[in-house]
Amino acid sequence: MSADSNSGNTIEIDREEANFHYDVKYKHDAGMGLSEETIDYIANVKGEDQWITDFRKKALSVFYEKKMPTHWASEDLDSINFDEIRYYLSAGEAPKRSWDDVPDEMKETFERLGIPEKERSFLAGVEAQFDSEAAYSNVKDAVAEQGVIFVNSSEGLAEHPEIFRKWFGKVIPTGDNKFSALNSAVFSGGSFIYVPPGVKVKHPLQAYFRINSEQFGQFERTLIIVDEGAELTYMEGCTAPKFETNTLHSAVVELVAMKDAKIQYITVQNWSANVFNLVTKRGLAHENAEVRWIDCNIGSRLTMKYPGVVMKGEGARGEVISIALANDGQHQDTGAKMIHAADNTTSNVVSKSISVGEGRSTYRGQVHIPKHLKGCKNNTECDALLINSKSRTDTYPAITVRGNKHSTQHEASVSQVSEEQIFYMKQRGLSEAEAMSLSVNGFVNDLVREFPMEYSVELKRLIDLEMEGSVG
Amino acid sequence: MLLEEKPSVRSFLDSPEEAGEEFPDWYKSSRSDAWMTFQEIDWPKRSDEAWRFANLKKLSHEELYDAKEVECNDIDRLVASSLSLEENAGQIFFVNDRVVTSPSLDEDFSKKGIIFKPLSQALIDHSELVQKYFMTQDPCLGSAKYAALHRARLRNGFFFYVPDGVSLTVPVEVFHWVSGNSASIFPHSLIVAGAGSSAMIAEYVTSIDDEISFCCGVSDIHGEENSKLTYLRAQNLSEKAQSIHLLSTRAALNSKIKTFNLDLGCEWVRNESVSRLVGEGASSETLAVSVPEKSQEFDMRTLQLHEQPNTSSNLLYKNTLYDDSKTTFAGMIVVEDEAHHTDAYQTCRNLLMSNTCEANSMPGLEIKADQVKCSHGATSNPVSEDELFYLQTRGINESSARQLLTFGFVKEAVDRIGNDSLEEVVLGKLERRFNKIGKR
Repeated sequence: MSADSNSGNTIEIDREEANFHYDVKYKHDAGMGLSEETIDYIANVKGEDQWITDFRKKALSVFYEKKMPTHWASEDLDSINFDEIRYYLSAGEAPKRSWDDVPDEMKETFERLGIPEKERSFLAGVEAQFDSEAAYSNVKDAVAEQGVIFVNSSEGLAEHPEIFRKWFGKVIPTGDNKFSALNSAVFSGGSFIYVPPGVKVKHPLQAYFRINSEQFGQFERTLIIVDEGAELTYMEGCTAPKFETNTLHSAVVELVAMKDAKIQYITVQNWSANVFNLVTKRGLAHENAEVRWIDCNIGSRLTMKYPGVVMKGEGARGEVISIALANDGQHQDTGAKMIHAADNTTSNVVSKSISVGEGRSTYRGQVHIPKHLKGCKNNTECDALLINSKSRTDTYPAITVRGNKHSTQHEASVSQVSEEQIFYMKQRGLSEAEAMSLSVNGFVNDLVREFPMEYSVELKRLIDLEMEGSVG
Repeated sequence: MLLEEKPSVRSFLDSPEEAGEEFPDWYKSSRSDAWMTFQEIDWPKRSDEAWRFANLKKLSHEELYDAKEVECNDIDRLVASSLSLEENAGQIFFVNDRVVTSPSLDEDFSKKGIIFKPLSQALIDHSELVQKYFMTQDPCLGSAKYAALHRARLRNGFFFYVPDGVSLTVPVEVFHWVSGNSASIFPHSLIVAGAGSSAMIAEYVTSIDDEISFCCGVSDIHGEENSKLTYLRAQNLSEKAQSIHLLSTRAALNSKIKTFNLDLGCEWVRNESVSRLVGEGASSETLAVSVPEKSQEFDMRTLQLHEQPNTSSNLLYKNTLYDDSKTTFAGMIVVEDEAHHTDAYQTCRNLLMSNTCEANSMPGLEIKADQVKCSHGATSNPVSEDELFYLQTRGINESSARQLLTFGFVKEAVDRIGNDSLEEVVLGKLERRFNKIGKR
């Protein structure tokens, strides 16, 4: 691609697919702004135990105390106005068990996204979060019979406190960062999953999230506990309609993999270009356990997401595989955190980013290996692809190694699609745009293959969509 | 005793020190402005991203004073005790920022218009020329306060100017020694290569005694179009010393600048290196080797700034860490909007020699242009067991094998200096260092 390619008419994002909005009548609305009353309101609607309300209020004060991390992060964060956000909305209905019970309006939204028809039969359970509360929830009998608990966060805390309270807020403490504190104060929705010892869940569990109300932040909370020797793959996908004003999405996702357990957490995200997506995700891996984050970030105005793994038990393994695509006006600030806290732990980070038009993608990573350990290994690879002359990419890793019994390597490269490749494909009859799309798909192909089949198809389609009009 | 001290003690934080009457007006006001700037800027804080991983506790200037004038009665012995070049085009010697024995410059070269003088003299003799280049680089890597301190308190240093089209095939040498408890020096190095010229410079900063001392130095290097410069700086201050060194290079059209930093001494070192490529076709090579031991802490921050198209830069930092030592490497490559067709590489390798050393690496990239080839790599590893085993099977005992491998590790960077006599000096200093560590 030539340096002088006209960036003026670079990208016209085709978001028609998700760009629609239906009026939904909310039964409960906590109003604009954030205060102790907001929390009382949420607690009251949900009928929560006192300890949860106390937890929320404590988190709120932490949120007020913490400064915006703008000394290292994008100053765009300062444009979030916390007083103009709705912190809780709910249709006020109990989660639906059967598809027929879901209100028609909502169903139409889901249909438009193409969620259930295509995949319901394929997937073990669908927990689709429509704004704050789970509007539809269905766990296949087979999975439930194995003793797997798959509920929303409120239900999890109310009905299974003996399982969830022990780990709730333990992997990601309230004070971890300003946005985890915000989430802890106003969380609603999200999934709580428990997989009993030895159970290998055959099909991936899945939840779709959408933001469907203007100026409304979504604060889901997910906690997944996979007991000894059990295995789970969880998928979430996000699409949001286009709105005029900024929308805040700030989730907290905690994973706990007990001894010998395996968790794969897969995300395909396609927020509209006005969403602030500030997510804290972390997994705790016990002895010989494995936590894998497979992450794809497309869209949003600013995404800040650094999935982490704390390798707490000997032989634990952590992995982050991530693809980011930043288009005009978007900043994908993603990365990984690998905290080695036991001997012979290994971690792997592979990150690929594509910057299109005036998009900016950033890799920010942390690897920490303290000195009392031995035999820890980390491998980090970051590759960035720049499509247009105004595209931008940054890499900011930080690696700390203490002692001489470890081995770390970090490599990063920046490149663009080679003109020769494009020329070759054009000569074979492809248009420049098709050739470009093919090249970009080739660049991420080895990572795309890590996603389940239906996701990788969707992902390729999303990349094609984003690449449309980026050349010529 | 080699040296006799003359009394005159004053902490450099207490009050400004005005420039002498003999200096040009612009310099006097630059100096007083700098003192204001120094006082306005805050000291580095833990939360400053530019000081991430830095141990600020090690940096306390309460007990430091401007270095006192000392009488030096045996400069030859001092020179003999430090490794230096066999052949040089000129030499200047400083003890505590004061010139000792008169500087030399080969006559052939001075006829060609080469200026190689102590800065205090150059400020008077070549005021306009010095003014054009003096402290023009922005200290953007976190130490603006120290840059201001340096400007406000500097006493001496050297000015090296090579006129257009003149080539020096033999390096010039500059020696800095520091002596006395709590002595602080502020050596300034200003190097300008005119269009189409070429030159090499070697600078050594060394302690005479084992006392606490502080060195806050600035080296500014300007390569005009088609020029070629190689700059070597070897720091071997006492184990209790602190050092901050701000190196910046500005490479104009088609010029080439190569720098090499060797750090051995000091309790605490902060090196900031900015390589600016301001003309098309310019290239820079930034090399560094450090061998910290005991509780030494070396903090290195670098920036390769590509402002124009078709520029290239290459950086290689090699650290061999012993005992409880700690290194921090924070490198950044910035490719500006219009700097298409840039080639930029950055590599930091840490060799971990003990179970209590700590290596922090933060290799960074910020790319705003396309048609760019950029990569960085950072590794931290112990000596390879396979390589050790191989050497042992050839009859080399383990400790010799280990020493060979560590020497080979740093030699990769030294070899890239590309000048035999400079490489020889660096290797000599490294050999002394490794032998000393090996004998413990």
